[in-house]
Amino acid sequence: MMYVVFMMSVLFVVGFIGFSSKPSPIYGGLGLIVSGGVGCGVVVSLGGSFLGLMVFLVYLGGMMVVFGYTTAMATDEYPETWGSNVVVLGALITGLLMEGVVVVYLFSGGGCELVGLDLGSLENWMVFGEEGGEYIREDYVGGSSLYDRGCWLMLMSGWMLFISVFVVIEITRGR
Amino acid sequence: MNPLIFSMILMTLMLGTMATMLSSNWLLAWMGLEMNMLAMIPILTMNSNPRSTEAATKYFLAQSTASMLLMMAILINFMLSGQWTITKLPNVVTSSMALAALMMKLGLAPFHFWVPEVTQGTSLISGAILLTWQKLAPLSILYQIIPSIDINLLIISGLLSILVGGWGGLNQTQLRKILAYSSIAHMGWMLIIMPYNPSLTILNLVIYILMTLSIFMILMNNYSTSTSTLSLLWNNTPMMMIMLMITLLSLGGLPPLSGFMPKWLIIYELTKNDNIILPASMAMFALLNLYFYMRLIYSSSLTMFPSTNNMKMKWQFTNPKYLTLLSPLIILSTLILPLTPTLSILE
Amino acid sequence: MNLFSSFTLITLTILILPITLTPSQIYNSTNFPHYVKTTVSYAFMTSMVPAMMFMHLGHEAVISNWHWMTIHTLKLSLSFKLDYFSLVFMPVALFVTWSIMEFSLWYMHSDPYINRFFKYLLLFLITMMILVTANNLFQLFIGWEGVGMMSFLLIGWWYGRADANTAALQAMIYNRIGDVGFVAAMAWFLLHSNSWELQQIFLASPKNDTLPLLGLLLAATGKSAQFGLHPWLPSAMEGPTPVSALLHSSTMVVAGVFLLIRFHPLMETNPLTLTLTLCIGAITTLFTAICALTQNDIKKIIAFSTSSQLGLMMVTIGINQPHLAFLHICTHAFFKAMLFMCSGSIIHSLGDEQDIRKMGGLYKTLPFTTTALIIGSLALTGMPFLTGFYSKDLIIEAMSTSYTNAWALLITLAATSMTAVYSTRIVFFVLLGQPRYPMLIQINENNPFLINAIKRLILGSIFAGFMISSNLTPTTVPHMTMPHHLKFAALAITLLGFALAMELSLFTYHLKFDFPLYTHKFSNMLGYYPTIIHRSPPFHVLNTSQNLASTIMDLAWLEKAIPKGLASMQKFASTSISNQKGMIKLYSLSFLISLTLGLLLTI
Repeated sequence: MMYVVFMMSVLFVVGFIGFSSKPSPIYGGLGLIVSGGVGCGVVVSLGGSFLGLMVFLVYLGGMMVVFGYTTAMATDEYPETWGSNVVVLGALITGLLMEGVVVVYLFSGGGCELVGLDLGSLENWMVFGEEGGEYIREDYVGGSSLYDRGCWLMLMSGWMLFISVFVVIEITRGR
Repeated sequence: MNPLIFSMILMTLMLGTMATMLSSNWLLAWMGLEMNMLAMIPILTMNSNPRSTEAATKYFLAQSTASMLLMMAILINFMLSGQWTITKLPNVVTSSMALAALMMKLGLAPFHFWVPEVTQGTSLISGAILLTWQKLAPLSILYQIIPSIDINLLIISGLLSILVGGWGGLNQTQLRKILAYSSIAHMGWMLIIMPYNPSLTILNLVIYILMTLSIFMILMNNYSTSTSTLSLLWNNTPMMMIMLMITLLSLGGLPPLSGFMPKWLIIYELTKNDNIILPASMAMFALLNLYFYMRLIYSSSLTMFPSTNNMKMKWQFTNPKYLTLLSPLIILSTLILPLTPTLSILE
Repeated sequence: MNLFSSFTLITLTILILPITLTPSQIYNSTNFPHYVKTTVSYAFMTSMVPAMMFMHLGHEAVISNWHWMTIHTLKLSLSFKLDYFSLVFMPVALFVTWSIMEFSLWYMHSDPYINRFFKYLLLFLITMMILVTANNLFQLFIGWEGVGMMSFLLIGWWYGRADANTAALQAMIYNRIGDVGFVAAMAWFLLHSNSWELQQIFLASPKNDTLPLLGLLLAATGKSAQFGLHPWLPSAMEGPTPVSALLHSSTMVVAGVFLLIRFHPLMETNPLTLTLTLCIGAITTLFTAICALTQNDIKKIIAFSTSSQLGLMMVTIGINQPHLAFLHICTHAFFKAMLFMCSGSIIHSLGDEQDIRKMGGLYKTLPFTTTALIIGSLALTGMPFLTGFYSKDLIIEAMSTSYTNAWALLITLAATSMTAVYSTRIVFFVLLGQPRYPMLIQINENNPFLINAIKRLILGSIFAGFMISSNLTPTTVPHMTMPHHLKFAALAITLLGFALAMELSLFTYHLKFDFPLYTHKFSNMLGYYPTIIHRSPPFHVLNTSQNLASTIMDLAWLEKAIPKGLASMQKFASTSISNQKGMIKLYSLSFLISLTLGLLLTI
């Protein structure tokens, strides 16, 4: 199981390298979607099945719409791929090499104390670990208590979401 | 902008700041910051032109980077300590990251680059909001987490801010940029005194907001955005020229005016803490600021912009623009030094 | 009160009379110069009375005191000392000045300010009289400074010329250097003997008096143009010729020697000062004689000869013979004044031409002046039984028989022979040979003022020495016996000088050097002394001052380093701080770098 998560996290980073090496926006979006999907997979694999599903549906659903929209709107006749430009290719290869170095370093068992996180012991990544049989999953409980005790927080969040859409509409209106 | 929409956005701006200031939870505070930032963007692009769009984009990028960093700090903190309380920030890494994020939001020295650009790109009123109200929320968070902040980082950044604020403003002819650099310098003063006496930070902030607002309103009254148009002030509204002069001197921190109070108290507090070199160098760097304020005074009161003779008669006409808050603001920003003894409760 | 002081006072009062007439109308009349001249002649006659009485009665000295003021313990009195020196010197000076004034009537007759000129000459004379008769240092100092002041005014008489002004300033400045010594000596005497009265000082004769004596020597060096402070004397030739005559004969330049004569009672007990005086005098007499050899300006040659004779006087003081020095002062006054008047006559006749190379053959056109010039030159060289002989020969004899510095003796002898050389040169170039001056020159010496003035001085130059030395018993006993070669030494070297100069002049008359010799350059350029001393120290001082005060202090430290350096530093910082490109990528980079640095700092 750990190795699956690990592979997925490697893929996650590969996706980020993909879009940060600056190909044309379409391929960048592709990289983002790959990363997003794999990220949801990581969450699910670590036990947050509900959270993973929600994120995949809501976030990636929206993302898909945006992706489709930008693809339709894209005016590039020959969009830049990762292979079409030396700079982009170089950035991609550099990123992959750096990741490879990190992975090899981790596999060789070297403990890496980076920003207070011990990456050497991958077991500590288990946050949503299940301990014993409980009646309800913790993430469900979190969701319900969010609506129950944190109703003002929910209200704020709702307003916040609304205002983001509102601001986006306002600043793009009529130009 | 539609007044209804404008008022809604202003309300959200205030709501965001209020939420940040009132919450004791990192998540809600962060959310308030985000709300604040989002509401600021349409205010920045109020006069729609490419320049303001660029400014808004820069603002957005800088602020969202800061928010991202703050979120990361919050998350790591949560991972390490398992709680969301703002005042509890035990880890030095997370506190430094949070400090960096907040400094970026405040526009402090190594992260100050967006401040002059954004301020210059917007209208005067947006600039006024940006340089005054927008400082409240991040500063309130900083106020709460200050005991766990690394003091060396804070002092280096503060001193750097004062220097940058002084040197940056020397090379400017654009008033909004000058005010932006002045804001950077004042933020440096606030940052340095914070670990010693946070109440003085608040005092400095209040007086700085009063002075900056008065100057912005005087400029709004005259529609001036550069030093050359400032030299037309005397034939437009002669009184206002004198007011601008006094307020600028107050901003520079000269004794009989209220701008002297925070500088005086800060230097006093620092020397009380056996810091001699620090306040001395701060006071000397403040001279740089004073220099370009004096230059503004010079161009507004001692030079004549080449103009037709009719222009010189303009002072005889009634100025249709009437800003109610201007006179109390100017009085507050220049004349409250005698109230200093009542501030002993801050000690 | 006896007749000495009363007649001396009458003399002085007569002299002051024309000065007091300045506010009246007489001062503006054209007769004023004649009045002054007549006044001086009367003064000469009245001054002869005490001098005759002195010779007849053989008094030591008469001192008259009037109380002037008392400052704490110091009593200042108006005190006149009428002794050998003052009583003999006064008639001599008055006689010479009388002639000079009469000469001036001719020489300066077209000057618009001739009245003022005469007033200045008279004041010059009066200050000299004050100096000579003074019995205390304060009075002496008044005369001393008055002489200096009047010489400044008279040398700079033609103040429209830059050279005259420079020469006047030179005289002033060199005399001020000397005055440092005088004032120092005055202060020392005030501190150590609490008196400025001469006889009290000599009575007290304070111990360790080398310092004030050196100060007095410095004062004499400045006033009498001894080596080191000599360049002002040839420069003073920029003044009118009567001024040169007066300056070089009986006033001003002899004041320094006179001062040392007055202080002789102190000096004779101090071997160091005596030796210094001797050496300075010897150097001066040789050096200025060398300088005189190659000068072409007739007045400069005579000026250098004066300087040389002053050196001789100093040498005489150095060998402890003040009376001989004084005798030389008196005899020298006659023929030197006459030489100057002759040169004035020549210059005037040739239309202000002073270069001896452009003269020649004047013995035909100016017979009277020629006579006077030759008599004066012979007297100057010490030709037997002319005036100069009586003092100069005695000096050389006294020197060669005393156990003095052989070196000083030798160079003095060399200088003596050079006196003959440059005198011959004047005579040869000015009077003999073919005329080299332009044609159509109005030469006329037949003016009673000129003739009478020079005539009296010719008489003086021939007989004065004889009369003075035969009527006054010398107080220091001269050497009576000596070998023949010593007795004839002075005469022999003088004749040698004559012969040599004559031969050389004839030999080189048609010879033209392709390039001047180094020795010739040395002599002609006055030993490079003015070049070195007048150019180099001011240049270096000004240069150093400019470098230190202006360049380093003002321009570098006080301007470049602090204000301008600060400003340029701020400018640089300001431009580099606010030189943003507005590129968000760079902002992100700065964010990354600062964040990394900050985290690294804290961890």
